[in-house]
Amino acid sequence: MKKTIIVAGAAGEGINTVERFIERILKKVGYEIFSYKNYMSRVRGGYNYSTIVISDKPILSIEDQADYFVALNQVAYANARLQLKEDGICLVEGDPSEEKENLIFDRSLLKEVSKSKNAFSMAAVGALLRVFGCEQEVLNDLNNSKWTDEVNASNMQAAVFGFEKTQPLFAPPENLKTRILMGGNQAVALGALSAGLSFYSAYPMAPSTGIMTYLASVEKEMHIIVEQAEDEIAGIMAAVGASSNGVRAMTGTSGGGFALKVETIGFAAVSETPIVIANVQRPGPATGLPTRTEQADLAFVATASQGEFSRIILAPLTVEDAFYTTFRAFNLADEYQVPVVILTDQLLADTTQSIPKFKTDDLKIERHLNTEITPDYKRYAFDQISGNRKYPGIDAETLIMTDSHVHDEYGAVTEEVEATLALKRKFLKRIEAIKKTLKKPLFYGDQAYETLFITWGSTYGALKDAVDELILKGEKVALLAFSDVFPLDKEVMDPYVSQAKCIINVEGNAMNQFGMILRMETGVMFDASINKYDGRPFSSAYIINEFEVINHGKH
Amino acid sequence: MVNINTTFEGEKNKSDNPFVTNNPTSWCPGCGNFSILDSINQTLHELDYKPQDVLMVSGIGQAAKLPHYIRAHGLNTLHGRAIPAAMGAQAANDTFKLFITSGDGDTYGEGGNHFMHNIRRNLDLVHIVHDNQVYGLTKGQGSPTTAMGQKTRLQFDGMRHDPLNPVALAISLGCGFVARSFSGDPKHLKEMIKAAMAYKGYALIDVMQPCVTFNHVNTFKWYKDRAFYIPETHDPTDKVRAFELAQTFGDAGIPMGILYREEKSTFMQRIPHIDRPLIAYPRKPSDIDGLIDQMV
Repeated sequence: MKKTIIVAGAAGEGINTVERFIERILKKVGYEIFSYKNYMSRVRGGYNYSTIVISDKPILSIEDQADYFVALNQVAYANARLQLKEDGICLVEGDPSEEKENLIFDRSLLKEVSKSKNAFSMAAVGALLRVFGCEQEVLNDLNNSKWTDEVNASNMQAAVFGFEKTQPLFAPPENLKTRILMGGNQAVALGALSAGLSFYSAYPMAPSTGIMTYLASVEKEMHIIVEQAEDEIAGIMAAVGASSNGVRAMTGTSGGGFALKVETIGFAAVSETPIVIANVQRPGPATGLPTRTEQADLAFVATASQGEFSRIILAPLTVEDAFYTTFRAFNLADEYQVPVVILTDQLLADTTQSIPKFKTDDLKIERHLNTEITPDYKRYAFDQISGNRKYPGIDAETLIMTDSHVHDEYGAVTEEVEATLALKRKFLKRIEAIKKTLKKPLFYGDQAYETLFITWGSTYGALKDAVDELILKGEKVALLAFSDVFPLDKEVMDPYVSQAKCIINVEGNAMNQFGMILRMETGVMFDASINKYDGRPFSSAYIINEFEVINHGKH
Repeated sequence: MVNINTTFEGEKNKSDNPFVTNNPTSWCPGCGNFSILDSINQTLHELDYKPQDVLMVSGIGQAAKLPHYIRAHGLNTLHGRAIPAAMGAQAANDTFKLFITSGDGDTYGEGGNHFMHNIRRNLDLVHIVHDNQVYGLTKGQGSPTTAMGQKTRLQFDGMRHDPLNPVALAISLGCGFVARSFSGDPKHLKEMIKAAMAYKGYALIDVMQPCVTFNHVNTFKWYKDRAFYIPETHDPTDKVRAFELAQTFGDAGIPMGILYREEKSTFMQRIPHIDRPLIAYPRKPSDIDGLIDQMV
């Protein structure tokens, strides 16, 4: 069973509230949930919608067309048929004599039962909860502590009205009730907290702001400091400053903010100060599409900042992976004393998914510090590729100089040829060491594959769902998904190249940026590509369609 | 007008001062930076600080090289970025006596936005601005404090912009400690550094400093002839009077001393949920288990 609900209307009309009620309750009764917000860069008005996919099996992507469409206004109603499957049903407030394929909520009747200004949306929630087999008592959960008792009570009356209007069509699965509902930004924030994040400073920028908002909401409980910086540069400089004094620190932004932070990336690298930076991508260039999605910052992030140095780029594949990958980012940053970029995107940021509870038992914070009194300690020893780090105050003796120039092993500014070469060679060795440490790509699909899809980051979700469907159709396909996207080990493709008759690169940009990096680092070329760069996320249906076009072209 | 005191007192036990290094500097002979460095070294030693207690943060420029010439912890960052780096450093561990040493270009030009907002933030640190009214390391261009009309190695016909008045700007933004001193009056400078160190919050000392190589207008003599000590009758808590006094510069005389002072809560005091240095909190992955359990 897999059904999709779209809730559509204007910004400020309560789309998020309806979405939250539906996904929270359906998750609680046992369904798998995967939802995504499609919204405009404005505070009120416009046309926004949330897509909620409900299933009894894990799902990793949205569907473009819905089984149920909740139209919160007339613009949404006009769009309903375009966004509904052929047998889909539109829930709308109006005159009951209208078209029969719609589920009409009689406006005058609704007014009689409930005084709530959200009477229709609450009635729609009630109606849908019953369709998915909920008992009437779950409606008791439809309250919001921020609202008055009176509002909650009239909302409830509307929900009961809706509940009584439908019949149960599906039954909740039994075994999934201990799952948690998690968003991509929140998973990044929790990964950082589990890694011992102490300081987060950033400048608000969609779609990354949710990381900072969540961290600020738990600031006291977790004894951390969240600072809204005066600009993007201050955001990252403060994080590097905090890290230079020994705490785990992070900043987050989107592409435009990352562009402003670029010089500091190089500073972190040359001063060998561990730092984690989340870049939640949105389409560029410049202001681009502020609330939409794209995977078009990879090539930029891989080369950002002047000079040559070592860095790591990690692109979480899923909401769940965003937690574990962010945790890992901090250990890697400390081990190699490098900038680590978490490269997500608006799709992942604004996805909410039911996932298993994060397991913290097996996680281990590894700081790679030198806590011993060390005579003649060299902060920047040229043969030190990883670890052995001291920071000011780590012991009562050692003085630490953190420096942005070419420097000697103690951090003193120098222009000597030997030191210049030694520093560069150290970075080169470090890059090689990092390549051997990073995670290999995830393989999924038919072991006897003929077509191998390559992807990275959040596109994994739609591609995995597409591979499942293609295998059911009898296609010999598999996928290789990279979370650790840079630097790439030159042998990483060796186990796969001989078997694949066709390699198809799938990524959310027009220029195949990962495909280019893969070719540059490994020499492996893709035969065809599936791209999406309209600011909207991939769906499995889109990938399957494109795959069929490629296959058709070959015959 | 009281003549200022420009005699250099040799430090009595320089060899005993643990802050003093023998590192060669890249400053020009006769540069005002030497006397600022000496004043910092002596003040720290006289107040019985240890090098391990002190963190010197800087941006980029000739003045910003100072952390390399003093024995203490150092954080030499990027052009204009000393202040946000210091913010993070203080958030992580506020047990260090924190200094920023930077030039007029670094602080008021490239770092202007940070300067402005840090006054709102009120970090607890001493910010010594080596203000020589010219760019040194980039070889002689006008700085935010160069006078209108003054010819430079770039502004061949003279500066086209009005100069920025750093002390008036700081007072207008509510900076809690605003002082001016002169590298040619080390006794006064040390007094100002001591007062700034005793102040809890962001203490700005704009230090007039001759650039012997690139600024042939604002010379040692130019400053000496114009500087005067702020009379004891000045009430530094009177913001309007302080702002008025801050307007006096150049041929009208240059007031030296504490222009403005106001007690304010500091950055860290405004974060009461942190009751010890951030670095001292033990952390483990399972700290988030409680947050996760709330989500089931």
